[in-house]
Amino acid sequence: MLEQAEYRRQLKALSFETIWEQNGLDRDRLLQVCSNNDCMSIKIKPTNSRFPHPSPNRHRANLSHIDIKITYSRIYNEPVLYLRLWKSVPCSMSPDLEELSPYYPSDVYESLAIDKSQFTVELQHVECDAGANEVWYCVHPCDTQDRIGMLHREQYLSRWVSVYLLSWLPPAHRS
Amino acid sequence: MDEIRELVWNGGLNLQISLHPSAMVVNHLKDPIITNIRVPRDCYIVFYMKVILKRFRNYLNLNINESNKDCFFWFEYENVPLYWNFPIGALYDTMTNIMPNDREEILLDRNDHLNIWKLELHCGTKIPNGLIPIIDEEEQIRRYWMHQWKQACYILNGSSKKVMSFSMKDWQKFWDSVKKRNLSDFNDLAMKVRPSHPRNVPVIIHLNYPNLQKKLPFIKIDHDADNGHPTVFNVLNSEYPEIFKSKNSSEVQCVCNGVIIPLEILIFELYKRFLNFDGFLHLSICFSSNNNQFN
Repeated sequence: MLEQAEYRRQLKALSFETIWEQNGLDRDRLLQVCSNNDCMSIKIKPTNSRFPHPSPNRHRANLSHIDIKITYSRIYNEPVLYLRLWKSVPCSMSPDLEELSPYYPSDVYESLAIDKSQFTVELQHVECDAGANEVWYCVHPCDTQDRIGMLHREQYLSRWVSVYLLSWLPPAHRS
Repeated sequence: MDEIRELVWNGGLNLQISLHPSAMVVNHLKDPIITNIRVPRDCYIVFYMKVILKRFRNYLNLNINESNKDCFFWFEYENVPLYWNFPIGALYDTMTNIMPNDREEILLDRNDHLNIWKLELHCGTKIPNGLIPIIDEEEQIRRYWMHQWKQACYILNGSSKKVMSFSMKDWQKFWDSVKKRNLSDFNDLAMKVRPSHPRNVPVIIHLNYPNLQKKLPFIKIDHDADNGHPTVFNVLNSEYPEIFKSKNSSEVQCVCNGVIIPLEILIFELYKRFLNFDGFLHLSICFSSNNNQFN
């Protein structure tokens, strides 16, 4: 459990790029990191070898990138991880061009190499700050405290990032 | 209390669903393809998707027996997509935005003798923003509902342990109670989650002004304080002070499961009687049809 004020303080101090590199992940795959008070948004590039084409018999589509959002749950008083997968598909109006659309694999655990026995991932309806509704995969936070532990509270968020995000990044994402 | 629970649980909605041209094998512009179905208010509309698709199977532009991972079906009301992940009754109360007392008169004006909600079934490769695509059929819906209960349990008790300790058999019995409309089984399991002295109350407020929105307010119960039990008015006034200025406004009301709720009732007392099948109390804000300010 992390109070919101402490979460904000730790989020502000969190250098995601440093954690990424310390964990031996390829810097080129980290496309974007930005944050505000309660939320850090990250965009990463996957390697195609881990991601099968979602529908080889229909459109040939490639996973383009993964949006990652670290935010705070006022219900659970814990950080929460949201994920959104994007695929590029030939544009219907002009097949030479590609457009991005959300990708919902039939088995998201397999696609992201997330251990099903460790994490629960579900599609969730998320209302954003601007009032728009979006659909994200949510890694459920209900037993966060048991996983992260209460020792070294000042490093709670960076430990949480290691457990909830870096632990499942598949080897193909690593340099 | 049992009688109210029964009335809430047994509440139903008449739906008339027409097939949008996007989902038709050929464009039947002359004759709309429709089906009528009565569903419980307190359920997800997608429980009935298979039945509805089966009725439309001769007109659909794809074979429903085959896997169509790139195609999605969804419902719309007056061109606004329905978020299936809320109880259909709460969507009806919110999206039609007609106060229960005004419904009869308004429906008669439209020459409808039966209260019917007219929806459209759409199909496409691009699902509208914010709609959760159904990838894994009933299993996905069941898991979504289970997580709503985990959340509700956390709000009520400060931990999810009560539901996390449910056995697989308990979860199955709970889910079956919702699907097979068995109130007794539902109450048995819901009562295991609901404490007599909750920390907070799980409530979702739906509002259709200026557009469809929801709020999940933080409603704390302080059992030691004299005024520690908030009323429905306290909650609504705190979340929407510009709409709920006084308890006595006839222009705006709080509707829950199709019933206008007295604003002075304690929110947890209302929760005990009107809670929905996902562990939350869904409140809809409805405006009088004479109210020009918000309609």
